[in-house]
This record gives sequence, structure tokens and C-alpha cells, in this order.
Amino acid sequence: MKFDSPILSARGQSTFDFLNGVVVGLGDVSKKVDAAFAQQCTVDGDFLTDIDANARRIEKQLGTHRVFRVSQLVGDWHARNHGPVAIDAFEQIEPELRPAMVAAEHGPASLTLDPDAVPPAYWDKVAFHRTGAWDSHPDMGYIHGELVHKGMVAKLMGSDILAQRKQTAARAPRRDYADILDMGCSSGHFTNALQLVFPDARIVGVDLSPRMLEHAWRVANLHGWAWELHQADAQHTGFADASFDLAASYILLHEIPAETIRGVFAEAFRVLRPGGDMIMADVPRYGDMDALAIWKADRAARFGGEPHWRESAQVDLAAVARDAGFVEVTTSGPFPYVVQGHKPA
Amino acid sequence: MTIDPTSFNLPKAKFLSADDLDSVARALLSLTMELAVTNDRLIALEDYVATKGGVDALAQIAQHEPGQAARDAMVAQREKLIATIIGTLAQDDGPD
Repeated sequence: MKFDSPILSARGQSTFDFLNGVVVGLGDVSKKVDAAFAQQCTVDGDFLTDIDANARRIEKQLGTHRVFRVSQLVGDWHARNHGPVAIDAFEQIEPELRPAMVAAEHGPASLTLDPDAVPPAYWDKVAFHRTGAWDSHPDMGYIHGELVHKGMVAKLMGSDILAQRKQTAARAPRRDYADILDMGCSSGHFTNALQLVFPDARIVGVDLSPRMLEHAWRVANLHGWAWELHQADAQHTGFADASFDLAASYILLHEIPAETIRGVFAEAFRVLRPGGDMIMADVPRYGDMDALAIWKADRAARFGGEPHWRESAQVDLAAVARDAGFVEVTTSGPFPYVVQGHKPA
Repeated sequence: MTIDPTSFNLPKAKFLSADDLDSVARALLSLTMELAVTNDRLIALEDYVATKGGVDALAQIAQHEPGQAARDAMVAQREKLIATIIGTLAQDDGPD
């Protein structure tokens, strides 16, 4: 069986199709919820001054509508079940898939795990996306990176996740970077994009999760890419000062609290050479959204295993970048929200 | 960080009210009917294949990748089933 885009068992494929179909099937119900919101809901002052109070008021008003109650129930059912379904689908094909996974452990990429790593409290045992904690299954990297991300997230978002990431990477101002750091590289989706946009660069990735890094390592080997992958906190990578030309991240920041975001930007500035560039992409900013969009995003975060989304989505990333020392800071959005900066020469 | 991030793993929530019970029961009956129909058809199909299809026919079916027409039929039936269940659950009588 092929390592990437594997053929699921008939049962596994059917369960994936059903879960995806349920989300699509909620479309009409969601439209009715939006209509009820427009008709009935009020927001006192600035939604962001008290998100919890405004959300409680809205949910009390919408709670009288069956469409709202059912949409929430079905959404929660999906959140509870997609992880176990993906694990089950993986385990059904695992005997046929394992040889390809083992073969992908040989190649030019390197993986350095840290047996003494102490996971930070904001991350440890958190079931991000409610799929399950990053390291909660011996093959969670494959399950999350290959099955959930490609088989569910990408299909439901109707987007080409690699193309999206390549477009972001291509916004970096130069093409001649020698050393690139992917901060919070996870299972390597953005690392893949960096590789394709900057084929001659040395690509280094750090992440807290050994299981996600293992998947990135296999992906790199499979393609013959010499990525250097390290289990490390993006705030404290351990690399020497001025050792990279581009520091980048994609969709990391909403998984970490504000204080950690500031630490990541400071680390990016430290490890960049003078004249180097930074590019970080993440979710839309609450400050750019209307009340309905904020409430929906915030509720999706509350029930979608995103404990740091609210705090992160309110961080002024341009200010954080400037505070870290970056100049020529620019931002663009709404999604992905991209902040770029330059370390003075 | 002032929150316990692991509290997001399984947020406590109760979405439905007692008023929704009839809709839930109707959806459950619709689902049970579909399951019973599928079970009957599957048993009949397996019996037919085992009787007429040769020694390893069932094993071959497990490996079989359905053609486009079959896949289209699966999509259509799945969408219909989901629409039936969600539509029954969410049948909107307006605000309570």
C-alpha cells in the first residue's frame, strides 16, 4: 500500500464519507441558525469586551430554536467521533501500510528526539481539535497528518492545503534563502510547501510532538528531502544566534497562548541572521470580524478542542513582531492572516 | 494562561431540551429502518454470492474497489440518509 493517500478499507472509507457528509448535510441547518441570529440576536457594545457574556446572551436567544440545538449536538457528535473513526480506519489498514511506513524511515531526512523534553502545560494532554492529544497514539502523526488532515479537514474546507501553504511561503520576499526554520512544523504540511518553494534551501523543522515529527520525517524521506527535524519548543529551539535566513510558521499560533506567541517571535528574531525574514500565518483576527463571525469562531473553538484560539486570535501580531525587533512589519488577511517582518541588516 | 486547556478535551454541554425528544425518536426510527433494510440486503447479497459466486467471492468483494456508478450511488444514498436524519431532528417549528 502507498504511504501517502492510502486506500482505506471499505468500512473506513464509509465512516469517513459519513462524517464528512454529516458536516455538509448540516449546511441548511447552519443557514437557518445564521438567519435566526440576524433576526433575533443582540450584542451589547463591543462583542470583544466580554465574549463570554455576549455568547451566553446569544446562545440563550438561539436556544429557543431547534435548528440551533440540533446543529450544536451534531457538531459535538462529529467532534467526539472523528478521532476514534480515524484511528479505527488506520488500524484496519495498518498491516498493509506498515511496510511503506518502515521503508519511509530510510532516506536523507534526520529526526532528533529529546527524551528529556518536558511538555509545557498549555500543550500537555490537550486533545487539540478533539482528535486526541498529539502523542496519544503510537501512529498519531500518520493518523492526524495523513488521514484527518487530508481526508477530513481538507475535504470539508474545500481547499488544497498544500497550495494554500505554498502561496503563503511564496510571499517571503526572497528565493535565495540558505537556511529555513519551520517553527511548529507538526506533521510537515507547511515544511512540504517550504521545500517546494525553496528547493535549494536547508530546511529545519521543530515541534513538541515526537509522533508528528515522525510523520514529517517519513514524508521527507519518501520524497528524498533532507529535512532536519528536531523535537524542540519553538520558543527555545537551541539553535545558535543568527543561524537562519527565514523563520516561518503556518497555523501554529492559534495552538499556543499569547505569552508563548511572544516567545516564538522573539526566538525567530534571535535565530535569524541580520537581513533575514520572518513569515507567520494563522487564523483570522477577532478584531477584523463581525459579531456573528466572532461568536461562531469562538464557539467552534470551545467545542472543537482549541483552548488557546480566543486568546491567540486577539493578539496584535504586528505589535508582537515589532516588539521582538522586526522592522518593515506587514499584515494581511483575513485567512490566512499573514504577518511578515525583517531583521535589520 | 488562565484556563485549564485540558478542559477543552471534552467540554461539558447539554444541547437538546425535553422538547426535542419526539424529533430524536423519529430520527432514531428512520435510522433503524434504514439499518434494517441495509442488513436484509447485505445478508441476501452475501448468501447469493456465497452460493453462486465461487469459493473466494466474499474475500474478493472485500478487496473490490467499486466503480464510478457504484460510488455515485453510495454518495446519493448517503446524502439522502443524512438529510433524512438531520432534517427530522432539526424540523423547525420556529422558536419554542
